[in-house]
Formats: sequence, structure tokens, C-alpha cells
Amino acid sequence: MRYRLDRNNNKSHFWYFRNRDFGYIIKIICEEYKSIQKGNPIFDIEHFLQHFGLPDINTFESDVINDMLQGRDLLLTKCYFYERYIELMLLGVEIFETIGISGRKKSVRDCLMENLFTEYIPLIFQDEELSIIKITDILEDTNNIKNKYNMYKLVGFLESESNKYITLI
Amino acid sequence: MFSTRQMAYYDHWGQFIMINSEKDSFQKLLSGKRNIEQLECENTLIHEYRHCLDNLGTNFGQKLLAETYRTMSNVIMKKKVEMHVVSPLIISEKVREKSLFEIFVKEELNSDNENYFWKFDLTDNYLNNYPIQITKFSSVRGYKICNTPVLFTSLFEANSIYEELHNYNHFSLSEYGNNSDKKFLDLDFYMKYAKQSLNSEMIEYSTATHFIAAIFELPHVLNSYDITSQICTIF
Repeated sequence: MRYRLDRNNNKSHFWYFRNRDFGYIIKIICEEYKSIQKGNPIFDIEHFLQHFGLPDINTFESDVINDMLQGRDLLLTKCYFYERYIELMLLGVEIFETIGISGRKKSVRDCLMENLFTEYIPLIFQDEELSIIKITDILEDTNNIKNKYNMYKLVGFLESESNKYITLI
Repeated sequence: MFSTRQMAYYDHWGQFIMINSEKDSFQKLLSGKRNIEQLECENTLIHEYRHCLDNLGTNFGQKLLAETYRTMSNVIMKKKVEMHVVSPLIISEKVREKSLFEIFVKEELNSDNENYFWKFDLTDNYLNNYPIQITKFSSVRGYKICNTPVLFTSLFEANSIYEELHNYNHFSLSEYGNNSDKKFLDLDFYMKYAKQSLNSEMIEYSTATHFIAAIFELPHVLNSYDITSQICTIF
């Protein structure tokens, strides 16, 4: 899509793309795609990728995986959540390899029916006993966040505190 | 956090699913006899499950994951976090603070009339000096519905609703088969989703779907979920 980006004269075009302004991006790509569909109601993802000069779907998927693996460097190793982040990031690669773009390899429904990945996605119910461990105690050892109740309690606290530390750039 | 319904939500800060129900009754219903109640329970789970897979297993979701963990780690260290105003972590909040999100029609729209066919206009706006497109939705008769940017929440939501509809199709085929009432039962189910997507209070979640339905001139907003979901995955 980049070559189309260069051809556009809208002064805000660059920023809309850079900021991932979904409304703008969806509008320009869908309107252009609609114009070449000529009334065909079938949406073909491979044709869509081809039209925008993107690689074929298999190459596109391996590019996505490479991009995901580059995410290894997005967090500093000394971060409290580094280990968990890497674990989830690699799990995400496995998820994408299994499902493919929009479930073309395996549908999300089939994954759930086969209980794939469910062991990594904790469910918490309203009547479950939540941990009474203190935040300071949870923070003492990163292994504590492997317990879903500790994680629930910790992120609730950190989310509510986050506004104090965020500076807009 | 995606609190799309009162029954459950997916927490993208902690990657868990919170079910607002008692554990035993939920699990009993889930593994029980196949009927509409069981389907609703299953759909709640598949909806939140898809949110989690999107958060972990897409490029965009992983960027959000990294930003969330970077933010939380800094809060633990009591360090400042520099964040772009269009970051998915805060954009919804900032859009509301700056009054860029506005609902004009409060009541639920009647889904069996021409309000299905929404119109929209895009206008340039600014959020802390960054240009952002605002979508102005109105009915075909010109009633204002709402103003909002298309946020990532509506992309994630399109995927999850698509999964619910997909799951219903399996249910309908296996339970109703060639039953002559199938058409009516299906219609009844789809109407519930159509009403939900037209509900202006929940417009933030269905903006992307309406947007794509309007561009492709799809006759029914529910036809849009499949396409929206495919396009959303590319991001």
C-alpha cells in the first residue's frame, strides 16, 4: 500500500497512515477496492492483497510472523513483565501460525472446540475467591503473576495508577 | 478492556476473561444440553476468546501488548511513560475527553426500517495536534446518530461478533437442519444482533462494521461482519 501513500496529495495522509487512523485507512482502501470489484459481492482476501501490491497470502503470513518476532526488542529485559511478555509473544506467533489470516487455516471456533490455547487464557468467575496477597508481596517475585488471581489484582492496581505516569507526546 | 456485554469481558491488561456469573452454573450450562441458552453461554466464551487471540496472535494486538506491559512496568518503577495520544491504550479516553465522540440519538433504533442504511461523512479533526478522521453517522432521513473516529475497539469487536454469528450458523445447521422453521428462527437470532449493532449506546463497538457496510453498500449490516473481520485481521 505504500506506493499509493506516496501518490496521495492530502496533507494529512501521511499522519493518518502513521497514526493508524482506521477510519481513514479503511475508507481509502475499501473505496478503491470497491471500484475494481464492479458489483461483485464476494470479498476475496487474496485478490484484495494482490490489488494493493501486497505479497501473496503465504508470504504475507510469514512477514507477519517475522514482524511479531521483531517485537522481542520492544521491552527492556529488566522490565518486571519481560518474561511474561516474551512467553505471550511466542504464544501469539503459535496462534497466528495455527489460525492464519482470518481463520483460513483453522477457524477460531474449531480452536475453542478443541481447547487450543485455553490453558493460557484464564477464566475468572464472579464467585471465585480472589487472592488476599498484598500488591507489594506480588511484586516480590515474578512467579507470583503465574497465579491468575494475583495477576487480576496486580493489573487492576497498575491500570488505575497508570494515568499518574502517562505523559502525552 | 472490552466490556461488550454485562456477561463477560476480556481484560487486555492482564489477558484474562472475567465472567460475570457463578462458576458452577456457567460451566454446567456450557456443557449441558444444546439449546439457545447453552448457545448464548458458548457465544459469550467464543466472543471473549477471540478478543484474546486477537490481542496475542495479531501484529496489532502484540504492539498493544508490548505497550501495555511497558506502561505497567514503568508504573511499578514509578517512572514516567511517554505515550502517543493515538495509542490504543488511551485513545478512547482522550477522544471522550476532547468530546470527539458524541451520541445524538439515545434510543435504540428500530432495526426493521430504513435506518439500516446509515450515511456517513468524514471530517478532519485534531487530537492534541494530530489529525484524526471523525465519522459523522446519520440516518437516510438525515437524523444525526453519532460522531466518532473508527477506533481499534470496533475492529476487535467486529471479529468477535463474526465468531458469534459463525458459531450460530453451526448451531442452526446441526439443530434445525432442514426444519421449515429454520428460516424464522435464524431471522429471530440475527435481528438480536442487528439491533445490538444499531444501538447507538454501543456504537463505538460497531462503527467499523457500519462503515464497511456503507462503503460496500451491503444491504444488511450483518453481511458486513465477515468482510470487516477479514480486513481487520490485515492490520
